[in-house]
Amino acid sequence: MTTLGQQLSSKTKPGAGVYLRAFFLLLAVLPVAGGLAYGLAYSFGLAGALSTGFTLQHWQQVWSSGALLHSLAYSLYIGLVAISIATAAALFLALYFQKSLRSGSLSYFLYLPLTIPAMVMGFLVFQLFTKSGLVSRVVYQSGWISDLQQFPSLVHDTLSFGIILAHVLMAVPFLTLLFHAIYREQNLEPLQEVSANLGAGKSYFVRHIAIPTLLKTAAPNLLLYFIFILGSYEIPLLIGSQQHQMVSVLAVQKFQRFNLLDIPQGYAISVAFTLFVLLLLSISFKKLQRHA
Amino acid sequence: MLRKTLTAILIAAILLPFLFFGMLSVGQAWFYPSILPQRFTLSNWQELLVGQSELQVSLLLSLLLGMGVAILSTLAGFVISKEIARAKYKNRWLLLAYWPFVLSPVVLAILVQRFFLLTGMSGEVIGVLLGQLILAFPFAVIFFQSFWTQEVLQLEQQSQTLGASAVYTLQKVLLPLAKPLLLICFFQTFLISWFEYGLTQFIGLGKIKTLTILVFKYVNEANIFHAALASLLLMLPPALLLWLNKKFVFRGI
Repeated sequence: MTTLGQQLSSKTKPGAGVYLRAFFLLLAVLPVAGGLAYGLAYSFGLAGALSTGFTLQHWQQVWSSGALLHSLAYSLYIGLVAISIATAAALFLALYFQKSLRSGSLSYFLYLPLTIPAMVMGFLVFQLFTKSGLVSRVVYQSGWISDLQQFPSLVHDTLSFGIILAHVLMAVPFLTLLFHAIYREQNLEPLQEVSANLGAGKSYFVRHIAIPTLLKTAAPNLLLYFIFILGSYEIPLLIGSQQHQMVSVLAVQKFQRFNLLDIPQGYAISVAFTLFVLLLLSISFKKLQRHA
Repeated sequence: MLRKTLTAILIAAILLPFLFFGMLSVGQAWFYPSILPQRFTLSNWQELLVGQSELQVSLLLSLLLGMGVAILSTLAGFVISKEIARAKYKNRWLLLAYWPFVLSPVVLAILVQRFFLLTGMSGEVIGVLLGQLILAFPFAVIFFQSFWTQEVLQLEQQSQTLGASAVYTLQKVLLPLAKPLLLICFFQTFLISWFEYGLTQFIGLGKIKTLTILVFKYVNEANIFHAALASLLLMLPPALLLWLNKKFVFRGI
């Protein structure tokens, strides 16, 4: 307690400060920076059991096979569709159920889906929408189909309906609560009264004031959530199709194959994806700052 | 009327996962096209009470890891966040704290896995704990930045100017002020560990079977009844805590 107290005293000694910062670098920065450096070295043939000296061979293989570009495009498709649908649904919920979100039943219930991790959400969507899932059973009992094969493939499908739905279900409660919090913080309710006094209708206020304000304020969070979807692993692993793979699944597959020569490619994919995300973040944040 | 109907539908949809998994967790056979399982049994739940069952061990391990990660990251985050808050280049330090969150956890796990193999911590609880700290600790550092305001730092200085020792200032000034944030941080870092899959799977080499690992294992084995029970065990404790105090989550957005 004494040591902790001394460390927390306002005049932290310069020596103690150095140790604290070193601890921070050791636990928060070194694993990521070291991991990236090691991955980069491995992908260039400079590290690992089969290293033969500097080579671009593994990067060329990843590039020429087209697997990385294909899975990046596929991940971008999933991310863009899921975040667009989730944002639209969350905007509707946040604007339509304002009172209920503020003090009604939804102010409690909407927090419950936040306790569902990605792995469980993937399992839930699988059990609900697979050909023998709950929805198929309800549809069968209603007489709409006479055989389970007539139920459409909504899981492991080529359009990735299941993956998109799972991400949308995870994102909507979070984004709704976020938009609701922004609505209150930005004092949009008094603004609505002002716009009504000036003769604007409710739909005009929603389209020209509320939605642009909410989207602009939430833009960094939406971007981060989009990146979270890009790198998602558990959901596509459980309910993804055989034809397409998201980047994380592709990288892990390279590591789990028995061919040791695939491992440098796995590192190349991981490093390339990290650099892509960093590039995306830096460009997007610069644009966001310019528009702020 | 429409609003009330839509609210009821929404609440039903929110409760569906809990009810559905609850139903499956007490089911034994669920043949198509029945909507309900053919047989109901409490045997899956009883396994939880039997000593050394896989579910029981996994639940205890998840709790242990969650508590360990939460305690260590909250304490270390509280101490070090002050140093970062007072640093000359505060924003640069904070930018470094955001690094682990840019990467997908599973990509991060791939990149750091080698270090854990070299140090012999792969497949060990301590390795998984350290791996999860890579995410939880920077989160705590970022989280406590909102606490170390100029007012708090000045208050602390005043206390010491008036003759209070560092320990007394910590006990009587800083900790009472930080108590709500310490609780929130503890809860959120616990959840980071509780829901973690990628790092746990790769650093734990599948040997450290937390609840998320167990859910995936049961799903792979097509054991939907155990998978549903493990899923419920993952969802219920945080749901209960949230229900008791929903303000724990969305402060600070």
